[in-house]
Amino acid sequence: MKYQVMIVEDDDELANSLELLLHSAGISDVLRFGSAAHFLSAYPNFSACIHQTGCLLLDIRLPEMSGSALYSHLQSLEFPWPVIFMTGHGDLSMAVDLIKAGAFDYVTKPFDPMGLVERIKAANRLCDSLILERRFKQAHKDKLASLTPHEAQVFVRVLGNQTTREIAEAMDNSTRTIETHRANVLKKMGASSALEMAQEQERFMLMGGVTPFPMVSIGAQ
Amino acid sequence: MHWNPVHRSANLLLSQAGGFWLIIMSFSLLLGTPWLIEKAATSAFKNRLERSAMGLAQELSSRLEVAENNYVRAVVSTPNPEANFEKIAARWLADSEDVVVVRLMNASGHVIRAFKANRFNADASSSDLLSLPVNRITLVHAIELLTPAYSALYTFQDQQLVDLFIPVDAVPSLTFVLTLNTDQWSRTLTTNLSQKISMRVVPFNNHLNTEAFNNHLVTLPAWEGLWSLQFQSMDPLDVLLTALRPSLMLLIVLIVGSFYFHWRNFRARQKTESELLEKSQLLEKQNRLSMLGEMSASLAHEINQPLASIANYAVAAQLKLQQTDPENALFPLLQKIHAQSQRAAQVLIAVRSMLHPAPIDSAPVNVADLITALEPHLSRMCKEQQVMLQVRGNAASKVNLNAILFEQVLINLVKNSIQALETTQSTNKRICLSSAVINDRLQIEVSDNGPGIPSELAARVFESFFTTKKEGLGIGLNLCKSVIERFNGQLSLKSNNTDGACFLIDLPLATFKQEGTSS
Repeated sequence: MKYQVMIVEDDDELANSLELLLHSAGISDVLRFGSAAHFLSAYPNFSACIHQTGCLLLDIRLPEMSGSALYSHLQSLEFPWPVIFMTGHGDLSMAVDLIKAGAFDYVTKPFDPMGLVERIKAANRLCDSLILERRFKQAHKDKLASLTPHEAQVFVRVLGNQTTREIAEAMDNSTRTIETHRANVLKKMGASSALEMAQEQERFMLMGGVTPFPMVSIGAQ
Repeated sequence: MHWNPVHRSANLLLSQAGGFWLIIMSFSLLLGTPWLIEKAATSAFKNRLERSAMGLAQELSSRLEVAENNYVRAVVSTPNPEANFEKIAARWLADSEDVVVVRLMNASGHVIRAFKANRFNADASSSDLLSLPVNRITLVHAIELLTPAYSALYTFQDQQLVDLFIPVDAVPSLTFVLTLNTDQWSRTLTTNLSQKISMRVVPFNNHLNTEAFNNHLVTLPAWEGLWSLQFQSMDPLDVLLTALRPSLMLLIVLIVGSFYFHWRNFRARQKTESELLEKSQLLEKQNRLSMLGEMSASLAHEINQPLASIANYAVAAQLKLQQTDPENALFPLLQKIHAQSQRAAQVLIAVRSMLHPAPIDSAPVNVADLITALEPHLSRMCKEQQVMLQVRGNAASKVNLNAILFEQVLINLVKNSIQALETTQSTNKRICLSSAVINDRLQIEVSDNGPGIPSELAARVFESFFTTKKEGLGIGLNLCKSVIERFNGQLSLKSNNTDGACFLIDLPLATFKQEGTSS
């Protein structure tokens, strides 16, 4: 997997050394920015980052816009990458605040270079899984969206553990019609069985996904 | 306050070299001196007076004696005093100025004849004269004036009278009573003391029962006159001193009182001044300590950056070497470089934890109170450099702060302005500290009317180790900025031109959510 690391650091020399370190550790795709403003102008939206694995290395002490200010701005824009902070102070309370706010990790300058590399790798692994998660979520959502209202009702009832006959009675349809719908739903959801479909739906819900229709069975008209 | 040196040293003496005792001493000296002078003068005078008075008494005594002898002789030589009374009396009255009334008393003590001199201007009818001595009589025994005859002293219509009782030898039942007006004595004395002394004949012992004497006189006329002379000084100096004594005393009390109050005022002022100075020194000390902590943070940052770079380079070189030539002799050296950079970092951490033993707490602080408490110190700083400090606004709002650090920021900004004003020759140097709450943010401005910051340097004022001052380290403004940022605020150079510079502190107000959190 190809990683990208972005560094926002005002100290040129430190940025150079970081770049060299990451290159040596096998991470060749490194982008450097001298300030928050540079970073924001280069990436006004993060469309490129969504499908790319990477992490952001952010210095807290930056001229004009500070690292933490940039971070809260990025959060409001739903920046997809994990963020590792580099603090100069070793200010524990600040670091705790940042971690609480959702930062992936922080290192205190002068940090152990290998430790940093490990953390970057960990961040990238997280990023990978995040991307996979995001992809699954999007795909599942698309699948759900492709269901017709009728099929959606069948979907909800199948997950509600109702048999075809029960569904047919409840929806005032013939068993045969419902069976056709059920087969269509399974096909559209790309599942080989109702169990698999239910598992995927549960995973989707756990990830905080939102179905495009209400997950309650509606009685016959 | 500008004390001239003399004033200053006098005040110093008052306040330090046992000022209280000095006050007491000068008080007693001031009070005592005129008293002593007066005492000395009066005692000298009294001595003189006593000597003169003695002479006077003797003179009087002899005069009285002569008069008595004369009268006794005259009475003795009179064959029929009762029949010749008028003639005898008229002669006596003409002979002596002292004698004002002549009476003849029988054995039972009743006056049977009386004759009054014209010069005796007492408003007395003959019946009054007959009843003399009246019941107001005071009989005294004269120690100073020893007379063979009986005498009585009394006051009649404000005149001191002395009665001489002269028995008539030829007719044992009759007694001549000569009344002498003592007021005449001092007037007729030949002594030159009469201008200096006023003399009164007073009863020697005036608590005697008048009535008892009345009876005594009647039943037992074997008594002796008992009276003394009282002298009073008429010396103008003495009179003046006596008259002025109360006002002099009052004046002295006033002078000493005002002196004392001045001294007490001065002491109180000096006390507040020294308290202020003490507080200022404490603030200065806190300034150094807290700023040392902040400086160590700044220094640590400045050193940690290159240290991190060194470690990065060393590790990067190790990694490269590992890929190409793992057995290279440089490999352990690179490891050492890395290890040593970590060691240096540890030293910095140790120093910082020493200077900053506890994390900096912030709590909601009322900024208006803080500024009010700090104002005397700031004005003192300004006054020392002849700068006028104006404090405006009343931002009575709470902001999450560490009061000590925030005070230091204000002190540093004002100090900065004072230093900027030092370079100007202006006589109207002003620094203005104004605070206001705008859109839920506290804004404090520190502005001066100095020369401003050169525009090419203005962008760099907040950089660490940047300074335009010879003796400065260039961390003041940088530290201020980092302190303010610590409290989620911003410090910026709001305006800067040749009319002066204005720094702006912008802080979020404390909300209930923020309360109690530390940054």
